Amino acid sequence: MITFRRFVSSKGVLIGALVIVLLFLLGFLGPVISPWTPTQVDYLSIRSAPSAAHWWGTNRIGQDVFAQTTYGLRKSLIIGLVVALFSTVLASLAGAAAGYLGGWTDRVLRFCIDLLLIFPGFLVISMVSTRLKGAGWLVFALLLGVLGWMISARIVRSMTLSLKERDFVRAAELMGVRRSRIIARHILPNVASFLIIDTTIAVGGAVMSETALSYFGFGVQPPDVSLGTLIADGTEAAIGYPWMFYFAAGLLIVFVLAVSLVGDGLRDALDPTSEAARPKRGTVTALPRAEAPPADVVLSVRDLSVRFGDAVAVDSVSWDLRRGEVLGVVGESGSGKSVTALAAMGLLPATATVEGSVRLGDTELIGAGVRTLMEVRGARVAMVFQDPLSAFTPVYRIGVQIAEALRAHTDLSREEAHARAVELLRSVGIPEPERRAESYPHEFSGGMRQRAMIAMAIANDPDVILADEPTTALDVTVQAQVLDLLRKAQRETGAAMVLVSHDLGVIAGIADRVAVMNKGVVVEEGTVEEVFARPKEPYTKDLLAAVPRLDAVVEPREPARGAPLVEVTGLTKTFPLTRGSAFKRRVGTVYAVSGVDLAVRPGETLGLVGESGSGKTTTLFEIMRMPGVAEDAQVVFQDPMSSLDPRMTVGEIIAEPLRARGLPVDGVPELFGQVGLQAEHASRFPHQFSGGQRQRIGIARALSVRPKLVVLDEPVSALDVTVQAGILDLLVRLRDELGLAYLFVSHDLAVVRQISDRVSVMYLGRTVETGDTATVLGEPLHPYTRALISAVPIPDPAVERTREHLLLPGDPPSPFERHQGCAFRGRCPVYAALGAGDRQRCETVPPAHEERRPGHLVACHFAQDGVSTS
Amino acid sequence: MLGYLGRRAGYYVVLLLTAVFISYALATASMNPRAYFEGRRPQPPAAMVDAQLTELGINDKVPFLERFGTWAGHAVTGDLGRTIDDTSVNDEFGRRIGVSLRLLILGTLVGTVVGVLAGAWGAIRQYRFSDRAVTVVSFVLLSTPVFLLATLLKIGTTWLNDNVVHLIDFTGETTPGLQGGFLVHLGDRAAHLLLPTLSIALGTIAAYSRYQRATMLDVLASDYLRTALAKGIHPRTAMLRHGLRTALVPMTTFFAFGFLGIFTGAAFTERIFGWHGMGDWFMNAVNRNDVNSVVAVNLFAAVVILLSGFVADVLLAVLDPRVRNA
Repeated sequence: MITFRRFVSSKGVLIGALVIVLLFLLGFLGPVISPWTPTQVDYLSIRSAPSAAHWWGTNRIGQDVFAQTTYGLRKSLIIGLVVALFSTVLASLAGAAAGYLGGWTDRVLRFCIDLLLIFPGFLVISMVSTRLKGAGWLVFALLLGVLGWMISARIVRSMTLSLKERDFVRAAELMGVRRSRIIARHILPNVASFLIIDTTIAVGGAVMSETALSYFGFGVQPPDVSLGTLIADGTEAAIGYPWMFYFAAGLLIVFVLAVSLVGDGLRDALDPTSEAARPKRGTVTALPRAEAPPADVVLSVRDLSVRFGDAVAVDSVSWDLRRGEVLGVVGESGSGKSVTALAAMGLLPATATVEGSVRLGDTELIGAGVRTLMEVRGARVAMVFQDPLSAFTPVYRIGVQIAEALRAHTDLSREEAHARAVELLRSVGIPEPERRAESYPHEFSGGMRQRAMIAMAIANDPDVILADEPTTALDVTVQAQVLDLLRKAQRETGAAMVLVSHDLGVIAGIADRVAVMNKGVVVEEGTVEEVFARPKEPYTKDLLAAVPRLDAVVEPREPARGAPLVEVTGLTKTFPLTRGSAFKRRVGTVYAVSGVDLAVRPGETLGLVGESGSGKTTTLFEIMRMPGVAEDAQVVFQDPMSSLDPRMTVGEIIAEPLRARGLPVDGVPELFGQVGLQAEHASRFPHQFSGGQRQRIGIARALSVRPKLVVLDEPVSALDVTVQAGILDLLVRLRDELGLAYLFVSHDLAVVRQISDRVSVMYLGRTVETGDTATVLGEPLHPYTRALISAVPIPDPAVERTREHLLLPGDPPSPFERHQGCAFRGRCPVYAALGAGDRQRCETVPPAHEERRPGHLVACHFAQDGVSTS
Repeated sequence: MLGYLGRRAGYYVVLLLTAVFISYALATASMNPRAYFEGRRPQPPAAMVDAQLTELGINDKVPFLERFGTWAGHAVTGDLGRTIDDTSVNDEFGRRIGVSLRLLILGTLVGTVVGVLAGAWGAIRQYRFSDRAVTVVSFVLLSTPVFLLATLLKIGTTWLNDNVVHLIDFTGETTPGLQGGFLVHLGDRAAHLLLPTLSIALGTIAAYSRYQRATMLDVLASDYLRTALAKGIHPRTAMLRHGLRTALVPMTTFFAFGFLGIFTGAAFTERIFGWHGMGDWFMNAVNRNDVNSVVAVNLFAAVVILLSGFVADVLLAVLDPRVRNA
């Protein structure tokens, strides 16, 4: 409904649609109302101009141009429709088959597509045109269709491929939905909008092809006429007898134009990110301020407001940043915390309307000219962005990009700037900086990219560093390294820093003062000690209460008994690593998982912990594919948006596992209540719900078939802290009410601590430590577990600042390499302290995951020795 | 990178061979050279027609595979056979290839460069009048088939020549019997190139400007452009060095597909402006049942389209380091 309204609200679409209707009326009614037939010859008026007898005049042998043109228009329209429908059907069938089935079907189809693409359709049709002469226009139209589906098929294929990877399709597969049903219910509806647009645009293309071929005598054959033959006939007479040419030519252009207007409007209406949906340009206004900021304030924000169209992102925000201090700006998503920083730098998109004042010393930054901003940016104020992969231009070397920042503000030569860039990379702890400066961003790990970003930020010794969620995209052990580096960089340059983050733990560890933002407003500001220890505002109190803490005391539950619902030992899963598109060949093996041990008993919650690349998700899918497990187990995915099919109603989504098993669906309304939703909302679509509500829908779907085990893959990682708390409460309540067992996969130790009875820690595809939650997190034996716990920031400045942090060097290693011995030794502090003899054991013998204390298993040769040092 | 390009080249050779075989089969199946000879007046005796057809290698009484084998045997040595008038296909090929390539290369260059610039400019000036104007013009151009655009250009110029002031001659590649030095001839050729080049370039400009505008808009919203601006370099430098440079990467894919349209457009344009290139040859050959000539043009089409695909692959690898090390 929304899309329909958007569709008709566009002027171009309305005009286009109206023109198409009129042309169809003209084409189908014209020949009927015309007093002449197309072939009828009026010998008395040859080449006569438009008149009452011949509305659009006559041609060189006295045929009525109106009758001929409307008849030709009808023929061209029919051919266009037939071609478009036929080629779209071919494209969708071929594309969906190639994408979904893969393998040889895919390769053969792609070869055919490529073959047709190097073989221009007009050559083929002209070649066989002598044979077509007797066959009539329908054969010609079908042939045009056969030769015109390839590009659409390629698009359908790639869409199908990406749909196959979407969580809602994987969810349906895990539920046991049949493949034919997956194609019908999940793939085709999600490709449909593309196909509608494609068919529309294809009508225009088909009419153009038809007329071109007919123009050269290879298409519609006389005495039959189409717009193409009429244009061909009229060309010579165009100057002397314009009516013989321009009616047909004009109709052709107008029709194709109308079709492209409608197609374009359809695309905009169906694509929520399209330009038409975006707000228009905004304005930037600096507001005068009563007094100048105090001398020790380097950056002063007053009454700053930012709107995007009608949506208010920031509402009258003020804060001051003093020399050398770290200001933490904390808030949930949509609180406007990052927008403030970007507005200060003049880096918001043009759609933003900005009002207020940001002073850097004496310089007003809001509404400042290009020259002023260029002098400020990168020199006096530097930024560190969230996602270090997308923040570097992919096509330039890292060294070049850092040198560019230097050369923008100094007159260093290219060589001098490069040498300085290498020095900067060295200073932020990049090993072999000369070589790494020559690398491209994609060749860096996430942590290294963020180091390079910090190197760029400190390049010109700025007064202020604005760090926007600088560690959010990183693993926790890497986050600890980067926070350490930021602290060091800030201390050494003496710059003041604004650290924008959603993570209260990060703020607690690094900030001097903190501003808490909610819905575009600063709700509370003060020293970090004050705000964390004695929050005044209810929102701050809620936020602090909602965030899970690693040092929280959790009452242990009764140990679970009974035979495990699922148990694996030494689970291994490898993927072939292939190169090449047309001729795939195997170039190696990815060891996604190589030695996982775990067991989940009835009613028990096992927390599976690990950083990215540790094999958590692979483990989960392997377990779900084990015989017998799928009957008793259901999955809840991380991203509730991608795990719910956007084209299905919520009621259908929750009922899907029941339907897949042929069970009655009358219990669905009750499920709504169970997860805290209203059953009346069953007919709504997923996008009409908030992130937390969507996750509740995912949970209801998992519960619909009454599983004994629910596998939760990072179920709260995509959610804000306060929403996360609600979902965790719900999970605990459902567990107690229904006696469920959970396999809870997460990278977040604090969340795991809150909900798990037992914990299993993974590193590079192996289980390294397992035991009761209190034991593993309280008295860890494996050096990796100890480092992991130490890296998790605790949202309490009093605790966080006095803790000893154990920094692991380097990044988690790549699963593309096979490791001999212990995979952790490259980053292991215990290994580093060993003598040569002991080291050899780590280098050659992979440690077994064995019981070191009752119920506490560890995979480390020297685990016991480590205990004494902690 | 060389390995990647090498594998692509191998795949292209397989495609090319298959395309040639299919075009030979289609041409043989749908054309009737016997009728061409039998239709001559006075009608030659059947035995003579047979002998003539056999000599040209297109006798339908010889089994198809045997005919193809003979043709392919010559083709691998570089001999594409005889036309239906018993002249060398190779000679005709040599005469016409230059005509087509001049048009194709010029049309592609003008279309790509102007299209990319117009699209990038439109994206930077999004929603302003100039962006809207470029959008409207490109929509109208995209809705006008090449043959009609060429015809309209021809009619318009003829009218201007006759009624206002004599602008340019446009039939053929040169004005026959033109007297004068090198510069006169060069100017004459350039004038003759103008309308055909415009015919194929305008549509290409329109299409590429739409694509480039879309990819450029994506890039303008990207994090790395923001990083570039945050360094303090001039916004214009950032747009060109970081924005346009990166937005060119996905254009290589459009380039590969777009060339098919340019090729088809050029064939039509040759015909309309009386250029004796490959497209013109092809249409004549079809009308005269000249199998060997038709296959030769098909071979030409497949080769230039594959070459354009190969150029697109190379460009992609040059423009994108991620593809280079993959």
